[in-house]
Amino acid sequence: MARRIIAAVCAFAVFLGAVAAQRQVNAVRAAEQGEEILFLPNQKLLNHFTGGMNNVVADLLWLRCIQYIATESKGERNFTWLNQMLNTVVQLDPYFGDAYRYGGMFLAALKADDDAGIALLEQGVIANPRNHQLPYELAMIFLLNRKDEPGSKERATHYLSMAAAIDGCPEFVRELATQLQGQYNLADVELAMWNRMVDSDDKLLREVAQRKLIEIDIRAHTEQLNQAVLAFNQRAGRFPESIQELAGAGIMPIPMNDPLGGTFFLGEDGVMRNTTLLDEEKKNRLKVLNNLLKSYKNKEDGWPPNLDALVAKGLIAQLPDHPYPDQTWRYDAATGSVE
Amino acid sequence: MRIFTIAQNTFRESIRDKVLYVLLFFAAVTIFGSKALGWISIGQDIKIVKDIALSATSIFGILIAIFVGTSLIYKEIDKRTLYTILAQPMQRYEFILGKYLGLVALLAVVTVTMTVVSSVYILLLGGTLHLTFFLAILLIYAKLMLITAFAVLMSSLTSPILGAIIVFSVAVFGHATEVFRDLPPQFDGTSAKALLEAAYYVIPNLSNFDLTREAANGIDVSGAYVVWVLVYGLMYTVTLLILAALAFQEKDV
Repeated sequence: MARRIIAAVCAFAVFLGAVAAQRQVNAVRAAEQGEEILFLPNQKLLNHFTGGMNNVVADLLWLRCIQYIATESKGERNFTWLNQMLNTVVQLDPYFGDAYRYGGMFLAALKADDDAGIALLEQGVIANPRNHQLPYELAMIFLLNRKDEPGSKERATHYLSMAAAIDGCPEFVRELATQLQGQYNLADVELAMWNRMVDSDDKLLREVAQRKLIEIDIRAHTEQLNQAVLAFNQRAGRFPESIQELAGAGIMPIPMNDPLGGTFFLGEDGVMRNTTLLDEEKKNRLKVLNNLLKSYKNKEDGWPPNLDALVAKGLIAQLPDHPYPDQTWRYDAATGSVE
Repeated sequence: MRIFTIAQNTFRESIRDKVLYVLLFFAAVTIFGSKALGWISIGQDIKIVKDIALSATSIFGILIAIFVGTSLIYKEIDKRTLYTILAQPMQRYEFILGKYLGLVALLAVVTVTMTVVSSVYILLLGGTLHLTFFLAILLIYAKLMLITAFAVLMSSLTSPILGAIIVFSVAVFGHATEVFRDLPPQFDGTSAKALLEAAYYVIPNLSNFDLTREAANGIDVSGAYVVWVLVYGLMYTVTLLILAALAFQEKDV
């Protein structure tokens, strides 16, 4: 009896050792998060060596991709490996419609890599010509992310018309296609899109949509504050010196508490801004700059001497401004980092 | 008639094999457990259940074909029942064919059971079943018939363990034969290219039988493709059975 107890205790002790070792493994892995995609074989070879389990491997990689997005969303928000992960998933399962759909959305909205999102969705449209969601998402990228680019509305109209022509396409897409051809309102389009997504069964999508809806509210409130500044200017013949002065004049709308922790401030140029929106815009513009810097390094085998070299090399027509009016980008040519 | 009797006995014997139930249990756990993966998949739970159901039908079918198929002849020798059977007025090829048919009948029961279980589960979860789903299962069964023929051949030639390893390797590499044909340009004009191209046709091309991507995503497949794959499977299976009969004919028992 005593021997059995000793054996059981020993087994339990060894098991606890295994648990401790697993925790160490997790700790080491956490430090290398995302890097595991480097160890996946070439996408083409991977397709051959799954032993007929391509779909299951694609599903597991898709789940890993979602976990990666969730982790990055709460952390650095770099999404370095997202593109490669998504490409591997669709290489393994070219008919995986939602991998193209959500993948394209995540690349454009979270990684701010419109090009990669568009490329993935266009690949999806070719592989899944009966899927109306893919041209619709393409149209959304051109409408929302590239609204200022020439020709984007025409391309959006093209993809929306394509979506509207596919069987099973919801009525709102057809209406949107019609609306786009006439006079449309981009804010309404965006609001409708996130409102639909906020009812999703998926927690991650709901969270993304909820944040986007809050951002829309903040934008609308900032716009109201700017209207108040203009009213003040018309009345006093100058811009207010502070929000307090604006409030004192009795023409400021009821102040809104930013649920995302940001603050509203009045710039020296007399424009009201919100730090949440500016920080989000800063992150997106930094991602664009970092992607451009990487492209430059790949082409020229070294970091550019300054950011203007990106324009000189034709990688971008014009550098994005720092969203904070009194700040500029700080670039380190030795490390290729920009802040 | 003699072939049918042997097939019947093989079926009865195999269906009592505990390995079969262990594998079926794990297949069922895999299919039912697949729903858990769907919870974090952004609305892809039905697709994941379909993918896993089809893959489980394929992989557990292959395992059953390997574990039961490669030991078919060995068991008869080990139990010394083979001598009694061969003493009867019967050709050796009839014995091999009977054994093969008994095993593919068992696999038919297993495949149908797993299809019914998967289909009911998918429908209960609110999913829909497209015709391609059933065509995919038909091709999986054709693949299992081919692998079983190979297992019977190995059973005539070698020991169960070595046979199982060889059949399993062929089952894995049979899904990757495209790499032998899709060679980089530096292979052009070399004898290695001719050798690898020959290997492409010699090793059974099991990726032909894979319609899981289309099935899980509800994509139509052409009837001609399915028919040609079935013809390919049948031809290859018959070739393997002839080789198995020849090998068993020469076997010194």
